[in-house]
Amino acid sequence: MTRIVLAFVVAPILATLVAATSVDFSRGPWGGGFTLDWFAAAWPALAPVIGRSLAVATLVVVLNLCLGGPLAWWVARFPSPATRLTGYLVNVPLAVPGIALSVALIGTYPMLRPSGALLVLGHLVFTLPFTLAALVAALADEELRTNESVARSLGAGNARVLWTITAPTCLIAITQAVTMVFALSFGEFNISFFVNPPATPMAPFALFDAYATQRLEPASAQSLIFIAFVAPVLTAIVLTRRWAPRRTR
Amino acid sequence: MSGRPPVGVLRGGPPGWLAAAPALLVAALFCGYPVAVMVANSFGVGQAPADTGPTLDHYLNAFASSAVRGALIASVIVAGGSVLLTLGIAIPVVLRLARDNRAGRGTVLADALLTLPIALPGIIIGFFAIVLTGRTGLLGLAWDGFSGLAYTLPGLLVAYIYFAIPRVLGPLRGAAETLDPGLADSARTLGASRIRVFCTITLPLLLPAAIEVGGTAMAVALGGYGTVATLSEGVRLLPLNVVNELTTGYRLASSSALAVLLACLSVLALVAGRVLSRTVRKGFLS
Repeated sequence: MTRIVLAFVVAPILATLVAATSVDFSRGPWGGGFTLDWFAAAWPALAPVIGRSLAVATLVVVLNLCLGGPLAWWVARFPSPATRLTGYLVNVPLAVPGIALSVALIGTYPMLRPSGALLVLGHLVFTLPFTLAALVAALADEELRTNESVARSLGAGNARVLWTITAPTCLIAITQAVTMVFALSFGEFNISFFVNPPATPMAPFALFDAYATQRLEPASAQSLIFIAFVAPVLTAIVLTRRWAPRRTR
Repeated sequence: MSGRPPVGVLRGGPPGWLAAAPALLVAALFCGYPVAVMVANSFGVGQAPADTGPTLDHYLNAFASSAVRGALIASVIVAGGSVLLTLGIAIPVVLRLARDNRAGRGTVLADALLTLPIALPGIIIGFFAIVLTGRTGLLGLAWDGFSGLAYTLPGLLVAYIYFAIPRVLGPLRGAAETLDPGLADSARTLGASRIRVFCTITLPLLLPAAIEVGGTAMAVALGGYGTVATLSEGVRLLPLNVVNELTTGYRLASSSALAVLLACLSVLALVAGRVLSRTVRKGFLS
């Protein structure tokens, strides 16, 4: 059963690889011969788009840590009805579908659209629940809190406690949040589709455009280039998941 | 805040909620408020052009339209069906992986591959369906019945299973790891058959987690737009209607009404998963 599921997950990627290296896929796999031309042709146009998506994803990660970090700290350390309410508010994007949120965003803030600010803020709101989920659990840890208060009672300042105790202890949770947020922002389609000005497309939107307007072969090549950029992030997600239980044992 | 005093505050310094304020402001302004406006739009009391005065027309029109009703039913079938099928596939897989992991057999590669689809946008999964079962798809060469399957309800169901696999397997994997293998082993040594052990011990222990994960995955599948957008010439699902109302003539109010409808379905799936999971868990404990 496991093998069948694995094959089910991998087969489409291999099929896409076949399509991307075929001269004419409509004549069957490698119809007309094997070629790398589709990759070569796709790259120049896709490179700046992927660069833009990487930049936005990085910005969203930084904003998540700068805004979500303190929020998680407050929720973890001062549990009250107010923090519970905050949890509901932040988790709204998990329940409200992405396109619904996008429709709501462009209806409410059309003036923020041209600059791309609305796109970044939309990504931020959409990824914040994942940061909160990863960090609150780590920050609420009793052992961490004891270590912090011991360090403080020995005279360490706030900045020093944060750098030498809190951050290193939460490293796995932070890595988890960073990788997940990066992958979600990089692959995010709904908000990118609606909110983003079409002149400066994001990577998933460029793919969607290729699916609608181009032949199967170049579209396959572009999909594989995109997947190649996602793969390292994915590896990081899997590795941190494996490390995570060891910390709590 | 009873018990221990909060650690990590400057004595006499600013209060803790100040640290949370920027994030809360962003969440309120760019999530809470827009969603509230969207709901107001759907009742005709929002922003122009959705400010015609209080009305239920947009909802009544939606339910009166056979296209919307069809999309609604197809959405529920595809989201619910794909998650149920994925659960059926996932339960044996996570049990197997948990057993392999305990036995020290490496599961990193399997874990990595099964997590892969979570990083892929829905549009790529839709494209996969076209490459394999589109009109010139690879599987169509093997058997004619496969060509064009991507644009049918069963084809969409398979694409959504691909979408749901990492979202179901990931959390369920954790639940399977925490199962006590001793229980199943004892039952086996006492003479229970494999099937009996699975039905009376393993499945009931895993069921609450499976139900909760299923509810969450269904909520995500209902809202998923990319996959069905790529395959939009085939079966129509509700998210397509939400977008269509906006892109053809900017009917903000009726689009908002459909978006609210979709959000309600998602919330319903989410809450039903949580509640049912808790009921089942309590049922086994008592």
